[in-house]
Amino acid sequence: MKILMFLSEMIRKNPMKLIILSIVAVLLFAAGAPAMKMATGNETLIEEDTKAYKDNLALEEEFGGESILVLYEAEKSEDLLTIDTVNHMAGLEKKLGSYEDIYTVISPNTMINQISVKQSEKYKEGLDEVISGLDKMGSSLTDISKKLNQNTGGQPPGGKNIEQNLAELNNGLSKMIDGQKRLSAGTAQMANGYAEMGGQLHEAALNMQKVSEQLGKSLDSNPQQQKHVQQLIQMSNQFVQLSQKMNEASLNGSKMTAIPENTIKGLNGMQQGLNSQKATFSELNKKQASQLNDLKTLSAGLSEMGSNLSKMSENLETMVSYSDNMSPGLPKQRKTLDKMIYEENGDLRDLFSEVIVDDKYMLFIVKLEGNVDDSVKSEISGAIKEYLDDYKLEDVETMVSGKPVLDDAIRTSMKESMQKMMGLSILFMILVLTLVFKVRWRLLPLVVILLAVVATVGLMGWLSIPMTMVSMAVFPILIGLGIDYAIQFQSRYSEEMDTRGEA
Amino acid sequence: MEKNNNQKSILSLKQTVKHIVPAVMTAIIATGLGFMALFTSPVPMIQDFGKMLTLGIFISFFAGLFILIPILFTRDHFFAKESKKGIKTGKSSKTERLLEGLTKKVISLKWLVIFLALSTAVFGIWGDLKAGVETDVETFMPQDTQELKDIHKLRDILGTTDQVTIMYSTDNVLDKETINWTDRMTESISNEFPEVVVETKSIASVLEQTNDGKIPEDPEGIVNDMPEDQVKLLVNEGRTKGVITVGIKHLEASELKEFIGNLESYVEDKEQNGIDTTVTGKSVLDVEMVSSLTTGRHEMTLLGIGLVFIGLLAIYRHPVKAFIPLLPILFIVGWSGGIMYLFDISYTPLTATLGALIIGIGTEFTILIMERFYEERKKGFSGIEAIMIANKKIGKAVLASGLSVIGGFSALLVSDFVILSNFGMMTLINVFFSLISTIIVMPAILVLLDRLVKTKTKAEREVQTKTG
Repeated sequence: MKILMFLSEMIRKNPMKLIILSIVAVLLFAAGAPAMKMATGNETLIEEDTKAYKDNLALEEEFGGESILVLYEAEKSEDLLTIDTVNHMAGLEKKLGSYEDIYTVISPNTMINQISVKQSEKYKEGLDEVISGLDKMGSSLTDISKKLNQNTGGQPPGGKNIEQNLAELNNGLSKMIDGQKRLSAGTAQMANGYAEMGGQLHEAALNMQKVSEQLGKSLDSNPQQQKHVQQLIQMSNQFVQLSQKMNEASLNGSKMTAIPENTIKGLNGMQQGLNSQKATFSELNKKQASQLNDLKTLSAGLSEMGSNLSKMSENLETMVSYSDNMSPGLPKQRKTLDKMIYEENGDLRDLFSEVIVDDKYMLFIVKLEGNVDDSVKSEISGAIKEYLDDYKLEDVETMVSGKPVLDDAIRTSMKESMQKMMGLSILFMILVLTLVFKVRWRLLPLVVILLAVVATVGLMGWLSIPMTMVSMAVFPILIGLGIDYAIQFQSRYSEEMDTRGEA
Repeated sequence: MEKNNNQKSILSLKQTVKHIVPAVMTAIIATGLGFMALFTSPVPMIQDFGKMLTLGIFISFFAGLFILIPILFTRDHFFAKESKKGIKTGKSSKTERLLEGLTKKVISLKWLVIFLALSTAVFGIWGDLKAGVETDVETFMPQDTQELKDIHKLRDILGTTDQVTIMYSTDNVLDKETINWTDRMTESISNEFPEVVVETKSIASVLEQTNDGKIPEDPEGIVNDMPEDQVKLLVNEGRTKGVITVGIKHLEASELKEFIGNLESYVEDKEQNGIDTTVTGKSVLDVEMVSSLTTGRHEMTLLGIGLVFIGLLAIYRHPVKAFIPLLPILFIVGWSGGIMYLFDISYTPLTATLGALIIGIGTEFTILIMERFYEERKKGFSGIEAIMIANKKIGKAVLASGLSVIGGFSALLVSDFVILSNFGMMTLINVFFSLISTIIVMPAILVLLDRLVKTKTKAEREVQTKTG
């Protein structure tokens, strides 16, 4: 019992020092309070060295963690996936772009983007093929014209060469057809690019028409050649039509896929024409000698046409190199959008089944990285809420949900609830002390216990023990138990004072 | 006058430190040992709870010793000019008379009291073994929170509420064999567990979706062509790991545990050479926690009781004396479990700690009564006389203590958190049980077990045989 003697001696000699020292100690402990964390995550439920925890951690590291979900809800299905809502989502995605802890975003908007990227890739491929096709046609025509020129110079006929060149011309056209097929697959909203291409084609076609007319004039003597000229004119007319359709198409996104198909038809017609020309050229070779003069004119015409086609190919290439014209983007027209999201039979594409439910709800899913800090989760869900509050949609209701949002709400109400409980605990204790504890300074135990609670919270910060949903209960328990000890001390002391007073 | 006052305060200080500090210290050690059982819980938040409580009561003790007592001493020693009279000590209050009557009755019916206490406790422990465990965090939080309503609505819309993930790893998850295995797994799981599984998804099912329901010839090429954002949800960058996500219905903890167990053995059954599988995800974590709570709970209580017993044994050096304060605690644990069972209250991570808390709080009361009882026995009083005095004097103090504990705990009742208000309710019931157990059962136990504790005079033994 030496310790007890020592204790009472210590208190008797330096009571003031002891009080001050203790309060300083309490304050030192309390300084750790701001470091105290609120924890609601998996690490509060299960030990970190268990297999289940490690497995889940590995999963989250490799495939992302929890998801925040934004739900778009519309009364009418046609209000749901519109240009407005897609733009709304794009804006939200842009706002979230600055957060590093987002694993991925899954939404109709990102899917539309995917589709449009794919389409633009196909479209560019198509254009490249058209370019090389035109280039080939151009150089073939120039070659033909050269050969024809040589022939008119009195040399032996080079019909074989011409035929070869014509075959290459044909080859070029085939390439153009292929290209158009790809364009057809990739077409949705490349309106700008298509419009420019249409313009170029139009110009080239007009040139071709001019050439053909010239040719026709120069060859008016020969009815058979007149037929060829007619075919060339027809071909150039087809080009003009094609370019017009392309222009139209660029204005009206919905017809876009039909257009390359028409183009293909047109080009096929041209190819057929060319094939019959090829046959004619063979005949021509035979009659060559007598028609040298006519051929000269034809050659000049073909040469001009060839250089025109080459120019057209060059222009198209420049056009493609300014890729801004056909960079993928969100559709600006409802019809283009519909084209992207619905199958031909009107069903929603399978790709969207994950984010569109019952034609009434649409999901914007933000999947976070694994093991993300609670504060980051709160920040991101806060940013989403802020965006939804700032940009409201007319016919569509929005809502943020998901586990991170719920956890955030739990943390907030944990704080509120703790404050409320602390307040009530104190109030109840004041009541109990006033009614039950009949001594002087009867509220002193409460003051002392509050200091102890503050010190405990601070110490938890220093020792980095987090505050969980369970440990919230500590405060009322601590106040209840702790005050019990303080009451015992004070009541015994008062009893001693009283008995001595009476003695 | 002043000198007299100084003397008085110094003497009071000495007496206080000498008598009450060791008593409270013993109670705190017992309480702390009870709380220490919480450290062994496999659930981290319960460990943290235990740490906080243990820290808290020791800090409270030192705050009382080094702040409260010096303040009182300073007040009386240096400042008080006159000593007011406090409570009138001589008054025999209504409470005291009531306690006296009650104790008499208890002693005359001691066998019945013990029988009733024991049988209800045994029934309670039996029921407690059947009590469920609630681990759904959403049932703990304030139920009118908008975020909670939102998530429920979301679930109604989406149909599937939870997810289990089968993670598999192999050299190349996109080779033909693995893809075929993935495809078989993805499809067969829905067929195997039609009542639980809502949907399954994997890289194989996505490939089929884009290829008219067939696995394409060149899965690797197609996957490489797919947008990265879509692929990385199912296959990792190194193509060494993949996941099959299994969307399931919202299940009760026990059902979920069963399902995951079945799924694990099913997946293991179908495991293919070179492919490693793991069933994981948040649901698996939840199940793990349920097991921790259900299995750890009883061990925790037993360990707490064991620790307190060892602690008391070290202090009293007498097995029966160390055991006596624990007997009423065992009853309370049983009764508490019985209440949980009767009212069909599921255990939460918080109420799972009740055992340790009961030990912590209850021993304080029982120790105080017992100490007083043996103090009076040593003075030469008979067992019955001793218990009458102890219950009259300490019973009053215990009532006051109980009231203050109830005052503190009742704040829990008003918490918005269901988990806390339930816990508050249970702790209040338990503090009430502690009072009953201390005032009614403890006297019966003390009188009955007195013969096992050696006491000074023979005369006492004669009295004992007459009544017992």
